[in-house]
Amino acid sequence: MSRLKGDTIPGLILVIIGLLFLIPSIGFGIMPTTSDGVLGAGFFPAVISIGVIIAGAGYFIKGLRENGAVEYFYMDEEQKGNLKPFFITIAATLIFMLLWHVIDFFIATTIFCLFINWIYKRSWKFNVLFTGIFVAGIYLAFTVFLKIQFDL
Amino acid sequence: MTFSMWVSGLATILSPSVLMFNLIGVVLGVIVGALPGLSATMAIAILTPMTFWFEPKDGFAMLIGVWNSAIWAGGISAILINTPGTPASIASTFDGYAIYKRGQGGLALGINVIYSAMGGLISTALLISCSFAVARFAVGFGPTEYFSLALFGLTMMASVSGDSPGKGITIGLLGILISTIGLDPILSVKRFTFGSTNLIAGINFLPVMIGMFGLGEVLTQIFERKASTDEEEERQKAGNLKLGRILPTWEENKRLFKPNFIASLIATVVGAVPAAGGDIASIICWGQAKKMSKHPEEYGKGSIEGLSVSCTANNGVIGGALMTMLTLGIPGDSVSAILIGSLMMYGMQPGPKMFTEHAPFVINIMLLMILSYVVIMVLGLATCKASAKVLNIRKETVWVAVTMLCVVGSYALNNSFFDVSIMLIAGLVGFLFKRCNYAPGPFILGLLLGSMLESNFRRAMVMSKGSLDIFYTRPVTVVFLGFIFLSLLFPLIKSYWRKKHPISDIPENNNRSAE
Repeated sequence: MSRLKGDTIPGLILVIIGLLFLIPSIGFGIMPTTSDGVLGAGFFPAVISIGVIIAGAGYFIKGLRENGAVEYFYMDEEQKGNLKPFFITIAATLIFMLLWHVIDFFIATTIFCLFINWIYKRSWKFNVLFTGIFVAGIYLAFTVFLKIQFDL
Repeated sequence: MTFSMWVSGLATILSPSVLMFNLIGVVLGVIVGALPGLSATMAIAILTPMTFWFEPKDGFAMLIGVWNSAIWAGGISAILINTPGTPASIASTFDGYAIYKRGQGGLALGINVIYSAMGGLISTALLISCSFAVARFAVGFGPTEYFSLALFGLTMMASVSGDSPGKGITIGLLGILISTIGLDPILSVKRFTFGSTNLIAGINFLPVMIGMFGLGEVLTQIFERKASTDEEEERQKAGNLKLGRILPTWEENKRLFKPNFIASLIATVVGAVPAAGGDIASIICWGQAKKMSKHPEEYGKGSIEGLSVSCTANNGVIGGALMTMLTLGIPGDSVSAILIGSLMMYGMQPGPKMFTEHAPFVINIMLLMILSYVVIMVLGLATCKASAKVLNIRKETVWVAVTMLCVVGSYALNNSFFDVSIMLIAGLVGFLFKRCNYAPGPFILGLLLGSMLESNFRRAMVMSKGSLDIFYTRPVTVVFLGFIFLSLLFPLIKSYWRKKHPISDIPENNNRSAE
C-alpha cells in the first residue's frame, strides 16, 4: 500500500485525464487537410495531453520508486480530529446546494450557517446572531442592492 | 493621452460613488490582509462577480482598493503575531515582530502604513510613466509575439512555483488542456463538451478561481488545523504589549528614504516579471537593503530599515504587475490574472489595444492606485492600533463566511447554478492540488492563457502556411523565446544561488508562512 502514497495516484490520475483528452482529440483532426496550413481542431489538445501523460507517467514512476517515503495526506495525532469537520463541511455544502434546489436559497443558507457553526462548536448565542446578520446581509447586498434572484 | 483625459479621469475617481467603493475596498482589504490564510487573491476572486453589477469605475475602485490594502494589511499580522497575513508580507516578519516585542509595535505598524504607501506610489508613478511607451511598442505584436509572450508567462509561473517547477509545468499544462473545452477558436468545432450546452463556451475561469482560492483554502485550513498552533497565536495576541508611538521621527524618515526608494524601483521591476510576486520581491529587496545598509547586523533583529524595505517591496510590485497586465495582457501575478477576467467581464481586453480603445479607463485604473494609497495612508494611520483588533476574528467565522461567499459569488456572475457546481469541484481540486504539492497558480494561468496560446499559435501557422519558420524570423518573438529558455533554466540558477547563499541568511524564528 505504501507504493500508492506520494505521487503515484496523482501521476496515474494525470495519465488518465491526458488519455481522456487525447483519444477524442485524434477524432477532431490533427494535421492540416489543405495547403493553407490550418491545423486540425485536435492538434493543440493532442499535443498538450501528450505532455500531461508524459509528466503524469513520470510522477507515477517517481511515486512507485519513493515507495511511500512521501505522504501528502499525512496527519499527526493532533490533526486526526480534523477529518470529521472536514468531511462534514463538504457534505453540508452539497446538502446546502440540494436544499437550495428543492426549497429556497435563504432557508438553505440559514440551515447551513446554523448547522456548520454548531459543528464548529460556536455558542448558540453567536450562532443565531451570526446567521441572522449574515443571511440578512446577503439578502440586502445581493437581492435588494444587486437585484440578483436566487430562484432556480 | 491628452491632459484633458487625465483631468476627466481625476473628476471620475473623485465622484462620491468611486470614493465610497474605494473606501469599502480598503476596509475589506484590511480584514482580508490582516487575517492569516485569507489572501488578496481570494478576496478579489470572491468580489469580482459582485462588481460585475457595478459601473466599471466603481467595481475597479473596490477591487484596486482591496488589492493594495490587503497587501499592506498583511504586515499587521506579520508584526503582531509573527505570521504573514499574505505571502507578500513574509519578509515583514523578519524585523516587524522583533520591533513589536521590544514595545514599539505602534512604530512598526506606522512604518508598515507609510512605506507600503510609498512603495505603491513610486511603482504607480513608474506605471504611469512607462506603460504608454510599452503599449506603443506592443501594439505591433502579431500572433507569434502573443504566442511566445503567453508561453513566457506560463514558463515563468511554473519556474517560480514553489520547490517543484516540474509540478508547476505539469499543472500549467493541465490548465491549458482544460481551456480547450468548448468551441475551437479557429474552426468552431465543439470539443469535449459531452453534449452539454453549458460547456460550449468553455470553462469560465472565475468560478474556478473562486473555488480554488476560496473554498480550497478553507478546506486546507480545516484539514491542517493544529490546536497547539492556535493556542500559540492566542498567547501572542493576548501578550498585549504596549504599541507606543506610531510615526517615525524626521531623522528616521530621512535615513529610510534612500533604501526604500531603491526597493520601490526593484520591486516594480520584479512585479513586472510575469509570476514573480510580492513574496519574492520583498525577500530580494530585504536582502539587497541589508547588503547596502550601514547596520546590516540589525537586520532580522528588529531593524526599522529592514521592516520598511519589506513593506515598500510588498506594495511596490503592484505597479509592475499592472504594467504587464495592462500593456501586454499577461498577468504579473494571480491577482492580476483575476483582474484580467474582471476587465474582460466589462468587455475590455487588456493589452496594447486597451490603451487606444479604452484609454480613459486605463487612466482611471492608474488614478485609482493613487487614490487607494491616499485612503490607506489616512485610514491606516488613523486606525493603526484599532486595525490590530481584526486579528481577534476566529477562523471558524471566516470559514463559514468564505464558503457562503464562494457560493453566492460564483452564482452571481451569470445567475448560473452550473458555475456554482464548477466552483465546488474547483474547491475540492484546489484542496487536492495543495495537499499533493501542486501550486494552483500555474493551473489558473494555463486556463486563462490557454486560448490565447492556441489561437495565436494556429493563426501564426496559417500566416506561414504551415511552416514553423515564422517563430524564429521575427526578432521580438526570438527575444521572448530566449526569455522562455532562460526561465526554464531559472530553477537551476535558483538552486545554484541557494547553495551559495544558504537559507541561514534569513532569521530562523521567522520562517512561518501564511500559505
